[in-house]
Amino acid sequence: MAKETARHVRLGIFVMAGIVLLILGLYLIGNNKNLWGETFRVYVVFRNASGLQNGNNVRFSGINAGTVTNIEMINDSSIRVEMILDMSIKPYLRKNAVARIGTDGLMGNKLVNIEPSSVLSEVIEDGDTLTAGGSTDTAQILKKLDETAGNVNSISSDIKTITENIRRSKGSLYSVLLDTTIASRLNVSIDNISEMTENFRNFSTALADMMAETKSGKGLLGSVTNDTSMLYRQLRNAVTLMEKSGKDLSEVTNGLNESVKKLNQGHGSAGVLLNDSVSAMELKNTISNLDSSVYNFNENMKALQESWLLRSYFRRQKKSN
Amino acid sequence: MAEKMKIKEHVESDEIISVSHLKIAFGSNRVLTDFNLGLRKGENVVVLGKSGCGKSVLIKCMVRLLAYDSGSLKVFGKEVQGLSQKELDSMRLRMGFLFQSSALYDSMTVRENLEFPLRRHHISSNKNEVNERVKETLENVGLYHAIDLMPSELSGGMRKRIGLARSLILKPEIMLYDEPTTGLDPITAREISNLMLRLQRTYNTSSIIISHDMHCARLTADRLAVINDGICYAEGTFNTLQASNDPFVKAFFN
Amino acid sequence: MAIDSDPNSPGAWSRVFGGMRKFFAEAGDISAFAIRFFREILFPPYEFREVIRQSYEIGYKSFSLVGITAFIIGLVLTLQSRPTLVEFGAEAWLPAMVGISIIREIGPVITALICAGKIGSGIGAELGSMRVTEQIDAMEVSGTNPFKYIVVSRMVATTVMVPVLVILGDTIALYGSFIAVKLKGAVSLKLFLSQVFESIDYGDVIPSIVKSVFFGFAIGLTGCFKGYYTKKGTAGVGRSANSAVVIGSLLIFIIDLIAVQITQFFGIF
Repeated sequence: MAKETARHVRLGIFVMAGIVLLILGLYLIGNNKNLWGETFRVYVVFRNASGLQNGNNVRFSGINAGTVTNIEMINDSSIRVEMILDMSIKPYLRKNAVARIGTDGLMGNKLVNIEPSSVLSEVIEDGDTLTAGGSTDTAQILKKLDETAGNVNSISSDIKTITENIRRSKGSLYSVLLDTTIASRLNVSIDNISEMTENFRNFSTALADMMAETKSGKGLLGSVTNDTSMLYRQLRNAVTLMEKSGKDLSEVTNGLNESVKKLNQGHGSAGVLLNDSVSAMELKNTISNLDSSVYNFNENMKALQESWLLRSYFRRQKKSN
Repeated sequence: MAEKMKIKEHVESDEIISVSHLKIAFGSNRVLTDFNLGLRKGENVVVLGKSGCGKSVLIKCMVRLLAYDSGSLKVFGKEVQGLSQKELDSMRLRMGFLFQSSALYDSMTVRENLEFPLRRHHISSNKNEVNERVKETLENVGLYHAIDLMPSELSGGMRKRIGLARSLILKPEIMLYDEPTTGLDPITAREISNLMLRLQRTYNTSSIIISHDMHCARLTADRLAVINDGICYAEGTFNTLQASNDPFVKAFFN
Repeated sequence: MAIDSDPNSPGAWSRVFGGMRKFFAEAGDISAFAIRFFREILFPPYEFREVIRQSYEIGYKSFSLVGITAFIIGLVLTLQSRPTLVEFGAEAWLPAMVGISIIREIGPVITALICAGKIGSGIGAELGSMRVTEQIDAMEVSGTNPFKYIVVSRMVATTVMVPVLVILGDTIALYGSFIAVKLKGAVSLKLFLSQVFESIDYGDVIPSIVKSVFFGFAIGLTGCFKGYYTKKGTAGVGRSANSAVVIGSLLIFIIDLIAVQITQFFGIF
């Protein structure tokens, strides 16, 4: 009898262990989906759900804050996404926060990122609708632009040094002239750079205009990025950098132009043979670098102009021209 | 002829088992074709027959482990095949069955084996009473010391005795033995035969014993029946059959 | 008709038909057995004591085997998956990937196959020997419905115990996986678990548990069916145990296949 009781006890422990583990597992899953804790509900309307699904995570400033619970089409261009968020973040989530669809991890699980605004506003309430931010694609382009501008910046300073060198020891230019390929390439590069600088300047002014509009809260960008301080900051940085490198570039181009003109006119020390081949090599490399980076830069510009955020602005510019 | 029938009916009235015109077939294999047998109260009948002639089938039909095709098989005056499950259980409660292989439950101790029919038939829930009854029955078969052993620890003869004890614990009115001495050495076989006889008197049972062990038959039988070709080929006391000139019957006594 | 003119084909065809007939007869018998189970389980008497005893024998006593296997599977699966994921720079996905495979598929199927081997053959052999040594008959004579006492109790026990074993097996396999992840780099159990549970969903756990219930039922069914109808003496016992395992394992895979279809159909996925 005692033996049987012991068996019953062991069986009971065994089965209870199974049940407890199952419940614990279900609880842990639920915990990750925020099904048990206190929650509240917010909405956001996107133009494109980008493959978002029920159950995808919602992050607030990068921390897991909830899940997507429902996605529905409310009219032909709007998709309303319902999210359940953890009560603990409620005091920090303001009405002007911006929600954006992003990608998580390597395998591309979609998620909703909520970024707080730099401007304080009222704390959110249950059932409120958040502003939808642009897709992160634009942010990526801006980031690329930033990088390119940086590249151009460093290249132009390189060229500057070389031109200085050329100016100082005029003799080396002979070798440059002798090497006709370099000469013609230099010409082409200079043309490219000029074109680019033109583009660049246009674009910078365009951006600057837009910034002005944005600040006053008007215009297309204004409506989208009004409170998106991060996007705004990025844009401003990009523009400043571009303006600076644009100025540098035009300086460089002018310098180069002048030198080439002088050379063409036969000024300078025409009889001096070049001993300093190193500087010629450097020049060669720099020119090819410059070529490729200018090409890339122009491509980026085109992409940026095509991006939905700015497309209509440029369209408007075209019309007014 | 009519007179004979009348006598037979009269005889049937005090038979606790009566088998008439019983027919059993498994597919095309006809085991019993027209079998008649009666068991009176207090009587021991030994059924002889070749292996596979349907001896075991016959007694399995008596407790409704197997179904028969036609004819009549009455136990305690009731047709076995017409009983409800409840009636069947109460009939089985009054009958004991010793299986050829003893059929002890391997997963239970000797005590649990003996308690099993008591518990299943809801005879007694009083623990002391159950214990007392198990003890008494085991002492009757002389194996009280084996009460806590598992069947696998028992020898063939011991298993037979425990099987016997398990059948007897319900104090049945009829005992059915399926080859009780088969597979045992002659000495153990004799012991079992003697034990059967002794218990017969202690418990006052009537029994049908399936066997082809003539020693056992001689010891236990009041009457013998020989099955051949699906019918009751010969019937009589040990001495009458021994004296028979029929070659088939004679063969058993050599 | 052209077939009939071929002298070899009638034999071949009758063999094929004979085999098919046997197969369908067997399938029909098993179905009838399952139906009888449901009929018997509905009406009293209920053999609670026996169910508990069998649960102990079937569930508790299989735990160590299931546990050890699950641990090794979790460990090995993780160690084997790791190089591929590292190649993709997705090492962080290891717990999630292993967790999903264990909970959805490997846990239930491996546990069920082990149970088919251990429990299915055990039941097949036990019932087989009970049949040939007339213990089943003896039970019936003792006023017990052997189907209820032997078959129903065992089938209920397997149906309830296999899911419990699966849950415990899954847990142990996850622990094995955790050990494997930890061998290669520092990770806390908490982080590991949160990565696992972030990737799995109710849609992974619940179908897998429901599936295990059916696995358990199939194991009990084949074991009991083969054992209960054992014929031809001691050799038949071996045959029963053997075919209980074979048919049980086959049924597990068939159920698994159906389960995948159903979960996908309902989109629980």
